[in-house]
Amino acid sequence: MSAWLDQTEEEQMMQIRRTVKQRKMPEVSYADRIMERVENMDRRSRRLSHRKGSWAKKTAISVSAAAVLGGVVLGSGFVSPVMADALKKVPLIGSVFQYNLDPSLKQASVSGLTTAPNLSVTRDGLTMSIKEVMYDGTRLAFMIERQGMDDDTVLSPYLPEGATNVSGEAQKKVPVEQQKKGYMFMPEVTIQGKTGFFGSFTDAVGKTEDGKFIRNMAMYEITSGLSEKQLPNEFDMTVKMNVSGFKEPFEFQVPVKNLAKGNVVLHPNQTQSSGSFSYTVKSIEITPVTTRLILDSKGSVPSTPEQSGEFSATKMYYDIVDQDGKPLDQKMIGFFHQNPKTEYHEDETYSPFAQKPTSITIKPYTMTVKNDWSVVEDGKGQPVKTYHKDLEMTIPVQ
Amino acid sequence: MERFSPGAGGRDDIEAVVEKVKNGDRQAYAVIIRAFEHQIYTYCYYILKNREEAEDALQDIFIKVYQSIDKYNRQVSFSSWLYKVAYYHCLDQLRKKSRRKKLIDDQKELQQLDDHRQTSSERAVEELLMNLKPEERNLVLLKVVEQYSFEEIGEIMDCKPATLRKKYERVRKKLIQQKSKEGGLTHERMVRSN
Repeated sequence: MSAWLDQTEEEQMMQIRRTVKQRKMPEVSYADRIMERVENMDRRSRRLSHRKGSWAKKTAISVSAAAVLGGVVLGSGFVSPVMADALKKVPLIGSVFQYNLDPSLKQASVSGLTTAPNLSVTRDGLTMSIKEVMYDGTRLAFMIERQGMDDDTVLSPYLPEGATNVSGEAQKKVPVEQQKKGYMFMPEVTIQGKTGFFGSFTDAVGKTEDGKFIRNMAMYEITSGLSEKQLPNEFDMTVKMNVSGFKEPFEFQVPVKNLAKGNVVLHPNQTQSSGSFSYTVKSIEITPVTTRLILDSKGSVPSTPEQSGEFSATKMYYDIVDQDGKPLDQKMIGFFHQNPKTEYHEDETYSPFAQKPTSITIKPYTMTVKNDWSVVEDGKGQPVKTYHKDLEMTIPVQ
Repeated sequence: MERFSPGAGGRDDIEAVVEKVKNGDRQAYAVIIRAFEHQIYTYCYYILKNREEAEDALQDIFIKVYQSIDKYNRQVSFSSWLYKVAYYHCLDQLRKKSRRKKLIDDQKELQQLDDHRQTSSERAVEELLMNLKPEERNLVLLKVVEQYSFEEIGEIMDCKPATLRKKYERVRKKLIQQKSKEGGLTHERMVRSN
């Protein structure tokens, strides 16, 4: 009898162990994210050696002067709506951003705010080229084109160094000699000796005029953390990209230029509050290509009587309008299947203003979700926004 | 399929990697992260009862460990040291949480825990666990799941092994009582057939 009881308990403990260990992480691994933060941290210890540049290695490096595309760089970089429309209809030779899915990159290309460095590296019949670069002080994006092979796949399906699966097992890597050549791994960017930028790499780079997806091209973009580095308007960027089937990375020394004039960076440090919720706008960056809003918020979101019972309020989101009430489009809105937190650091990008505004107004709003986290929509299929007028903030732009 | 878990044999490998990191090989830390992230995630998840919070805690813990890696001197195993940071970090998070409105959050969290891919017995185990107090759950996670000795747990929690043994006995009894309440009928049937 006691043996049975013991067995039950032993079995029970094993079940607990099994159930807990079976729980999967939401992501495959957090190592990259954590290592990015590690690399960004201030180092006080001098024992940590910096990675040496690879100039000593035998890689083909191509350096060349940059050409300004479009040639239409107006005084402030801001283009009047009429001019913008006219420019859109002119196909630019050599421009690839003009077909981009991101309308502000398209605009940047068309209004002459990008550069075409004309850099190529060819190995074994495969050529990788950096075609176009956009830098406006707050975002940095460049396009890499592959020539010498025509393949639907651009990004590498092979695993990079040190990859593990969900349970932490090291994945069997296909050795370099056996890999199919020509697939791109995420590039490593070094600016003024610094690495570890928050970058994104995609092969969804746009459609041509006849509606077909652009092939054999990828775009790398640094989406945040640039302005605080206070880079000069011109600098060199080293791009190292591993390509499947090649032991050594393809390397480029890319000259980067900020052609956007009339950029404004504000640090209002203004706070608005209502009840227990408050937010402080830390900075606003206005360029002809991007509008960026960085703020910190604290407290529980205010909710209306309609947002109760089976409905609840989401976290706070922020719309931006100019002095005439004209709104910007937010680049990406994240939906979270959980209760709002009580502290947020928001770093969000929006479409650019057509003209430099004289003042901007921040309009916080929440959306409404049901118990299953689905968002309540209006008749037109748009999420219902509940604006909080008492939390609006107007900021003058000098 | 053996998951890389630091135990006998694996332990020395980890210590070697930690030495590399201490000597300036920053990238070697990624190996440490990959070796432990799943364990630390599940630990944080069961203590904090929230997926997003567990993700945040996981990352913060690895950052804290990295920042203080110079202080690690092999007086305890690296994994005990890692769990110590995790334990105190989660304690902090729980304290901060308790200051917020708890009622609605708990309801929503319990809903979130309902993972439709789980079997009913798995769900029963989760309910069993989640009904324990955080301190009790912590002990179960370290002793039953990660199978640390009471000496090691003592190092993690800054507590005497003897005290932990007593606490663990109480939690064990609690678990058996709860389990037998549910499995009551089955148990009776077995008794009769004897």
